Amino acid sequence: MAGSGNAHLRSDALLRAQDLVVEFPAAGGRKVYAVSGVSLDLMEGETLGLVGESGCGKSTTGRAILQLPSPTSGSVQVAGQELTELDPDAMREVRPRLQMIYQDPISSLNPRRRVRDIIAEPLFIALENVTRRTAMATWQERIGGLLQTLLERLAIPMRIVGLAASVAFALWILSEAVEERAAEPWLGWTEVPAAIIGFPALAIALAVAAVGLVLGLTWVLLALMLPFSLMSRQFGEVSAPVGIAGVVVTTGASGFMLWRTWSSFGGWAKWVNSGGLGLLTAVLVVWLAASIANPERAGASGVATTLSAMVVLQVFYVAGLDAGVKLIVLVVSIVVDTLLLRWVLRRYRANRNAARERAEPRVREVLEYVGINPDDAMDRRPWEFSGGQAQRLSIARALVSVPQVIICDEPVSSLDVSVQAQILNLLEDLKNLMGLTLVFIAHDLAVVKNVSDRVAVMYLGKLCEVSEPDAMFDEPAHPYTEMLLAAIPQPDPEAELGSGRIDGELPSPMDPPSGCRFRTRCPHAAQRCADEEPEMREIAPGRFVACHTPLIGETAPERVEIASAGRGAS
Amino acid sequence: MGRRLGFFFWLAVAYLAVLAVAAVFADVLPIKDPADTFAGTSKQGPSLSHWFGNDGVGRDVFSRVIYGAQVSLVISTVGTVLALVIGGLLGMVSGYYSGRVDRWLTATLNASLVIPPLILFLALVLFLDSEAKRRIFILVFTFVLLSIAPIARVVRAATLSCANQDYVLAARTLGARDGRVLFREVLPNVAPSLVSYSLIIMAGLIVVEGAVAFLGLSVPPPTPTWGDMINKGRTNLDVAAHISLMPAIVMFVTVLALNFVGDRLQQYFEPREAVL
Ligand SMILES: Nc1ncnc2c1ncn2[C@@H]1O[C@H](COP(=O)(O)OP(=O)(O)OP(=O)(O)O)[C@@H](O)[C@H]1O
Ligand code: SF4
Ligand SMILES: [Mg+2]
Repeated sequence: MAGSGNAHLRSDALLRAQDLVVEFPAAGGRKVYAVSGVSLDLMEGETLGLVGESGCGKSTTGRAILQLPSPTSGSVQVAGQELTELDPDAMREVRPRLQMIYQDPISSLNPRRRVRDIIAEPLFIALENVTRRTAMATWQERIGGLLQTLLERLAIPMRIVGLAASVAFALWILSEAVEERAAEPWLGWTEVPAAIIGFPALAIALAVAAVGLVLGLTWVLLALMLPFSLMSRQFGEVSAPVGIAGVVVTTGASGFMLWRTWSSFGGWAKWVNSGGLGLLTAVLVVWLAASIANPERAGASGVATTLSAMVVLQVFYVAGLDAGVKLIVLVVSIVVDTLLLRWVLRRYRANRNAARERAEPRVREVLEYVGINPDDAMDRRPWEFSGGQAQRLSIARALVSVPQVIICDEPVSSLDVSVQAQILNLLEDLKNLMGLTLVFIAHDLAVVKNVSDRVAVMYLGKLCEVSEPDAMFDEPAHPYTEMLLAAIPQPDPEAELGSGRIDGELPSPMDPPSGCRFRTRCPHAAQRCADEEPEMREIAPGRFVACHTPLIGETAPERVEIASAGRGAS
Repeated sequence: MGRRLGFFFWLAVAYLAVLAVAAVFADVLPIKDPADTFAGTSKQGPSLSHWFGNDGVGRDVFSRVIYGAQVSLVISTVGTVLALVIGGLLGMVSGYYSGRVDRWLTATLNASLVIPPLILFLALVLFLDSEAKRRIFILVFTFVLLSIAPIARVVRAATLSCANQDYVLAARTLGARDGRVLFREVLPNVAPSLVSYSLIIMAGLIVVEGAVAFLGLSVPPPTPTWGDMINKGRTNLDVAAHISLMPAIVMFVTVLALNFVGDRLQQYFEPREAVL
């Protein structure tokens, strides 16, 4: 078992995974050889069953196909497109075509979100990714070539640097103004109007500087932690050290400017009527407005952070004022903050509702597909549903993005037996309706036999046998397949107790046996099995086995040992 | 819904709200001038005209407690909010990106936990404090530095348990960017523990201000602070205990209220997870 080789692969498959290897680092510098050279393929509309003991690497194989994480080596092709070589953005665009359904339906749905948002999420994500790409594409048309790549790659660092630098510059001018005015006395009430107008602007300016500083520092921290190779991807043409140095310098500058502001505390009230503020106010308000106008792109969280930073600064500002002015400024600032906050929230809600409305018909349609009443379900949260209903929701989410391939990772294992059949039927119906191609991972051989067009048996990170289910179940060709089949509980009251047991322990995937990985438990193991790894080969039409002495065909050994240990007893 | 926050939760919230409003509007409330040494007889116990009595030099303790709340609330709120944003972000990043980023961040944060708070504070006062009126910034700065690590640790733990859930994997399977995963999937699940823990941190900061005042390093006089008032009242403990006692009681009740609100919120959000 445990063989390699690609004899079972077909030429015009929709999905083809070849020589997948997944290794995880383990304690003590060792490695977990979770998947070691597995090759699978699926024709369009086919269902492939993937079976094997717990821990043999079924889930890991499924995730490697989805590039989560991408395999240590090997190739995955969907309709001829190689996934392992795609950059993250291109991969994101492919993802909707490859979906997954999970074993535990409840934990695969975020308990804090409503069904309508959970099901619509794939649409929002796709929209976000497409918007991003088209924005990039427009740029490409306008500027083209090198400049565009530079801009694209430098987007993040430039945003931070630009923000920090402009704020630093503004603060510099302001601090000069303060220096000049330092000697003049506090004018008291005459400055109140100026304070009211100017102070929110100042607060915003400082808030932006603070956010820039935090971003910059985070960036520097990340820069120190990430390997240079990763950084250079972000910085593109500029070499990583130069890019990092640039960010460090501007972060330092905005930090210094902030510090100067802090240290002039007490003089703030006098700043507010300095000349440059009008311009600054305009710039900052435009910036804030722009980000509020398009929270989907600018990030509502960014706006929220800026606002809360602003409030924090206001507290300081107000604390430093004279008693008489304090109350007025306080009241005005509370009003201004409330209005701003309300504006942000309104915009955010309006955007969200608009998006929801656009998504609603699709969400309803898909919910009806999976047999959930949309009117009841839309506004509830996942934990208010039973396991079977939750699994339907999870299927609905996978369907929204109109996938080609769905990997079902034991989709019915955690469900009550009475519900299992319903979910399996649902999958079958949807498959026919939408022309889906399925990978069906399962423990339960009976389930696999019913749903699959082809079955692949896995053992300790390798494939043992790939066959049509009927042939395989009638006449297993690999000793491990036979063992698995023998372990199916027989509904025979006279069967010996314990006859349905798989003998021996699964060896550790950190230290797999040499040669055939199954040899430590195989009743037919010979010296050759330890020395030489069996290759996958076709021993009968449509039957592929990785074993030196398969159970069918001319080399078949006597079938006594396993028979007496397992089914033969009945 | 069977879950309720309960009467005492709302009582605590009301107390905190009243305290905050009183502190913010202290200037316009009809209370005595906190600096007026002729407000009443020195060391006079609580009476109708001076609810909390008078201190050693005759100032009204009640109005000083109200004004002291300004410092306590500003320091604790600002310190907590900043620490919450920074610590929350660091914690989420650290918990979400396992491996190298996590190791470095965790190591740094753990290292920062080793620094004795008082020493850090003294060092900062020594190096940065050219003017005493800036003390409040140094206080807040120190408090932020001190609170980042504990908050980040709590958030990291919450993020870790949530980042392993299949719904995070599902979001990534759909092609969501890391930022989207963090803010849409992780944050809503981390926020309850973040907020309730922050309230407890906030209570801690109020107490720390008291401790710092004992060294005479809190916001300098004449600005009243709770810690400073307790400290100054010490000399008169035998004859006029109320000078220390009154601010101490208010501080105690405030800390209790914050802790209680934090605890209740935590419990309020917990059962939902327990149901799963
Ligand atoms: N992130 C990881 N880090 C380290 N080891 C891992 C990781 N994920 C899986 N493994 C190891 O890889 C092996 C295969 O795991 P996998 O989850 O693929 O098994 P499985 O066949 O899906 O089992 P089950 O039927 O129990 O779901 C196991 O030995 C497991 O311990
Ligand atoms: S006979 Fe040898 S090659 Fe075949 S399964 Fe057993 S150990 Fe492996
Ligand atoms: Mg699994």
